[in-house]
Amino acid sequence: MPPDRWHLDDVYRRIRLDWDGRLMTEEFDLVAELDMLAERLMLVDPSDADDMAALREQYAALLTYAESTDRPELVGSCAYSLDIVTRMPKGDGARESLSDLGTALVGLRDTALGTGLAPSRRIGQPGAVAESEFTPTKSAPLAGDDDLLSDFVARAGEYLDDADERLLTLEREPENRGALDAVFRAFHTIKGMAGFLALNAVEAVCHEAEGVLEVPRKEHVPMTREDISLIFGHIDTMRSLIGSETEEQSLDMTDAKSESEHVSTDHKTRATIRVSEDRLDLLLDTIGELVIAEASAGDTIRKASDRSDELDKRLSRLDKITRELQEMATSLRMVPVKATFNRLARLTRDVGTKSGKRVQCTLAGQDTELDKAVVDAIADPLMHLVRNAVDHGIESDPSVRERAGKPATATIRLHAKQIGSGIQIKLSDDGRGFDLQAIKAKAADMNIDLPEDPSEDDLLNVLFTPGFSTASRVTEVSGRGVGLDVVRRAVESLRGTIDIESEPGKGTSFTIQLPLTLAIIDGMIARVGDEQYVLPTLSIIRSVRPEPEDITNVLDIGETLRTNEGFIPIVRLGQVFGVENAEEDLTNGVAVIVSDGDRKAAVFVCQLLGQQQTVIKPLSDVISDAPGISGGAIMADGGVGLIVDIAGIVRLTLSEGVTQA
Amino acid sequence: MIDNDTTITAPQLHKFLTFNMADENYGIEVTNVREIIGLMRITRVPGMPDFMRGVINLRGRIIPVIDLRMRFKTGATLDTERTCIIIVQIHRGGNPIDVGLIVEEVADVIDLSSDSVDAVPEFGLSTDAAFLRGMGKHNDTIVILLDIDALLTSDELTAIQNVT
Repeated sequence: MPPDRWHLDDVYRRIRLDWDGRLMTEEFDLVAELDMLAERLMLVDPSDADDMAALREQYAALLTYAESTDRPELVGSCAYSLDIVTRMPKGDGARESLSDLGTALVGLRDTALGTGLAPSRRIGQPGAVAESEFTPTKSAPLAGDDDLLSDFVARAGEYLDDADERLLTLEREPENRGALDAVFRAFHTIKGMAGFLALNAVEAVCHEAEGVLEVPRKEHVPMTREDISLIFGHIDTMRSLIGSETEEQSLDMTDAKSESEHVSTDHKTRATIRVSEDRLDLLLDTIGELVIAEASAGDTIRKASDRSDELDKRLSRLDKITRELQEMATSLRMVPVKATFNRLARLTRDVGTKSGKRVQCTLAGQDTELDKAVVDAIADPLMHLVRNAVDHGIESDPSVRERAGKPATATIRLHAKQIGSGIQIKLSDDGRGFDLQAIKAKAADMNIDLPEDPSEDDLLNVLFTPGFSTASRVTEVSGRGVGLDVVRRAVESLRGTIDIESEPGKGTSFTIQLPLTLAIIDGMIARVGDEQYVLPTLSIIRSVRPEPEDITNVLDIGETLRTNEGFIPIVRLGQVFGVENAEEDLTNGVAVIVSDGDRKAAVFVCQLLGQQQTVIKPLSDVISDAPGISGGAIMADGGVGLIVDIAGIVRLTLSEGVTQA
Repeated sequence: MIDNDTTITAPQLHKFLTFNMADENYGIEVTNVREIIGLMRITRVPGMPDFMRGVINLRGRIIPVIDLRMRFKTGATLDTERTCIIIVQIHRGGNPIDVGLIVEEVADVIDLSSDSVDAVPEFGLSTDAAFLRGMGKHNDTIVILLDIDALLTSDELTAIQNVT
């Protein structure tokens, strides 16, 4: 039997079984109708126009029936199925559509019987269980227990993530037994936990998934693509079920969430304790305070006249322990990028399937760790880039790719690695790349200033211009650039940078540099007049003492510094920030060459006082919008240092221009 | 039985922290005051209005500090041994925010009953009147009572953001 037929048979069998056991339901007519539909689905020949017309009619009738009831969830499912039938392609695509129909049918049947997937019946509502007489009514003594529930949410989430990852493996290697068993185990474990908590709907979905997985496991046949899609669907259903369930059950959802999202470690190999994020933050704050208190106490003692070797020794020991403690505390917030990467791999698959493109996603460096807050915040921009890459970057026609000497299946590559005190995430595709001519034309349309003979970098940078993205022309012609300004802003708000490289016909890659953590910053302390500022080390390329012959004042428009890498505009920090007594003579100070990812600037300060790790604190709401300042840091002497927003200051100076004093 | 809702309620007592500034007495209700600290190093924040002296580190939290004299446009507060920072909690858009007020000298905590507080006289269209809550009479002196929440109005904040 061909695999799709096998699948439909399975759907049919399951519907049949449920049906036999549920003859007495009030939804009798509907269930009978679904039963007939399942039968027809098995026999239908997608290439036969008459067959398809009959199927369409049957679904249309179903929709009409659904509309006569006042159950919007039924109408939704029926309309969705009818939509699939109406759009069903001929040939290869039909199998996928039929499989989708089968999945939808199972869902419809559940909705009809009220066994769980329907939004009207969520577990945990007392009335919900009673509504369906056929589900054994379990007493739910534990369902109200918030702790158990939030633990369940967290663990089930981890299992589902794992299942997601293994399924992607299975898709590539359908014979992979280990992966198959792991997926099965994930569902089985969740089923057990859900049963314990009397979460019947979750249990039901797990049971279904197990049913699908059973056959390839027992009969040692490879998983079919359709089955894999079906299981992916089950995972999504479970995710939304678990989400809605806890909302219903747990009044303190925010708490449950923050705990569930907390430090994700491998529950199988290591014993872990879940701690709420708030408590962890408090610990980090307190340790930060300790570091400062220790530093200032040490300062005082070292300055004291009656200091002894003994005291010095003890002090340096205290110093060492404090530092270790700080490092440990910081590492507590570190999580691997793995979960996010797996989500992106899954997204690649979903978007690829939806747009009918063959795309695979390869991952590297998933174990690279960074601050949980950074991981969370970077997920959305990355998703946006992946979606863009698959939707617009990859050629729709595989033959075009083959003619260009590329494999028919496109590859999205995600690579993370640690570089110094930061992390680099590289997302590349082997698609068609940007059409630079189209960008140039569009930039001219929009009156965007470009040099006479713009370089490739100049043109690619135009993509980050706000509003450029919405330009339909670029979307159609070169395919990309949707909302890249938003992506850049998101990356910059994490004190990161984003770079873009593209080669027509070969592909595009985005390189994102991010700090490892948002709680601590590696900074260079710079003196400007009597004030001190912190320059993020991540943005610094190097620093130079300007020589008179390297400084040029171009037509009074701005000063530039000649360096090995060309002329770089000079930004006088003292002038931008209005500092009194700032050094005026450039040759008496230091030029710190910084980069905001694409543009370089020479930030002029009076003196560099040294490098320091500082604890970052949010500026008060009242002054959070100070231009050119990205935040505050508690300095070793207990005072507040202001962290310079490099990207902001470069933009502020270069785009708007600073009038020369 | 005493009906609390009638206007004949007993005058309410409020405690005010008073301080001197430019030879006048000012008062803020003690319920707004969180603590009083000595002058410490203040970091200037670029692009802020003059009256915003900068930020301080109060036990690990960064708190903005306002020079009250600059706020009332009566010159800058002099930094002397008696100069101190009153940490007050203001409410803006429903969120409590801690703000430091630099004052030249803290005087006393006094009790004022509501019947010894007069309305603020009309000063024309001066916006400064917005942070005045009333004129209190204590013994023989006049205490200008401040409405702390109005110190950083949204107007003022828009102004802050526009200063570049």
